[in-house]
Amino acid sequence: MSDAKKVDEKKILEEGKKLLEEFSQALKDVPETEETHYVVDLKNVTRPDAPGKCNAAFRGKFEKLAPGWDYGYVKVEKKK
Amino acid sequence: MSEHLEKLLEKDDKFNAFIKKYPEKAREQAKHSKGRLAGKVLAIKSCINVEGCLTSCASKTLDNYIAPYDATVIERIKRDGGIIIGMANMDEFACGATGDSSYYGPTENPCAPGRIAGGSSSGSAAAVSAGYVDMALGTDTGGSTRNPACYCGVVGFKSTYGTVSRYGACDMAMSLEQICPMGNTVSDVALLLDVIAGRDPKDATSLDRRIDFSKNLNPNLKGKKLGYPKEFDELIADKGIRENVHASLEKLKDGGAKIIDVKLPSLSKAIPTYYLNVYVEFFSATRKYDGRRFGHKIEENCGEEVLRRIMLGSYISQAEWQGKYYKKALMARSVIRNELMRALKDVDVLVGPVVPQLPRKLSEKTTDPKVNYAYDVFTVPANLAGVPAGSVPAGTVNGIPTGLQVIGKPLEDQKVLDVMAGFENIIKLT
Repeated sequence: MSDAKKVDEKKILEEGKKLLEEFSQALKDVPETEETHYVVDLKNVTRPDAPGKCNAAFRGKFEKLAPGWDYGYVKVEKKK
Repeated sequence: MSEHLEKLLEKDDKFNAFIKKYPEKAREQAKHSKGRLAGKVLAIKSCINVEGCLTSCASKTLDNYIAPYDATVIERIKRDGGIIIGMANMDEFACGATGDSSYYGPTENPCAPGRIAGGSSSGSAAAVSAGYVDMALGTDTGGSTRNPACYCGVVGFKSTYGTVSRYGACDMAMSLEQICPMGNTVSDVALLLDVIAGRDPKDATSLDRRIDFSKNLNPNLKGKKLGYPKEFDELIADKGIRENVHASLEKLKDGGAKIIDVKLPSLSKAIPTYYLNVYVEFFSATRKYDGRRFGHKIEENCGEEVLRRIMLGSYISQAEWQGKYYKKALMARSVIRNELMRALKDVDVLVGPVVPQLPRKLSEKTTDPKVNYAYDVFTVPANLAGVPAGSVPAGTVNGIPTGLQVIGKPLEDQKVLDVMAGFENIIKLT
């Protein structure tokens, strides 16, 4: 198992901006046309308007994942 | 049944195909294994939730995340008797085509020692190739199933977008991604697809369609019209792969198929189009990894490529840049999609290369994104258009496996699988 690398964020962003410019140049001749977000039609309501099946064990398993849990709520540190 | 499982469990993971194995869970599942996958042993890519298993996405960010539920595909595999032996290695958050950006170390190619296995579903392909499992699940956002299948000499198939529910998969880019079957043969892959496919109310993009691919598999190539875009030749970097592709075309002709010239004039725009879309979608998808409810904060724990995609996605998403990059990429996506549909109009399927070059050596690791992105040029168009595409073994180049890609029209997954099966039969005889 390797330690996550210490990466130079500033360098990544600056080099990344150059990459975006290259990509932008490659697409400059693309004509104005419709945009493809999804290739299938999306529907907002897909489930029957009724209670779903409940996995009784889920909550306990989920609680174990959270770093902090108090009175039925996830406990989160204030942003520093 | 359990004898088969025990034999597989005894095998040493020489290629780092697994992040974690679960022998006791597998033995328990084997006791009750009934259904279409009875006795079949599977590896699952580590970005698909399997209840009680480490679903880390091969990242330090989620190295303590034990999935509290099963993805829909996992529910279906378990219901049909599949035995899950462990969680497969992968590129971190599926952001790669090489299989060597995992926090848990690189996957080695079982067929080409010292070389990458391809990615991002590196461990899934390697596990099948090395004989650790019968089948595996990968995901494919821009080639992540087809690329490692090609390099490891196995079969991988990305179905029409919406055929398989993505509920429970940790998305890389949700408008492009599908969960995909991998196996040693086209019939194994078709069988696994039969099990995992179908409408799921939990995934708004999933389609209601008839699923019976394995029963209807027809390898007869006689009279099949196969399109070959000449632009493929211009972008294949390796001479050996070019020769292999043209030898494959001859074999298909000998099998009774007709090869027809078609055009994909915007193929060279596929990589910029794909990555501009991916950056934005990946940035959005990773906002849940804030370390508050599970795991750790992603920006503080991820590798370089993951951070690059997050930072560039954030940058593009700023209002002033949307039109310049993202909206343009969405329009380019329409152009590529329309061109692919035109190329497919008068043929049954397209055939061609999976990758432009052979897998590099593990020791030649690079962090130059353009070098790594170049692997994707032939695979991303199928994701941008949401069409079915698969990779089937096509022999070797310098002793390294390579594959033939077959691409079809939306919802014509059966035709793609049929041509793959026909080609597989030819290869077996040669």
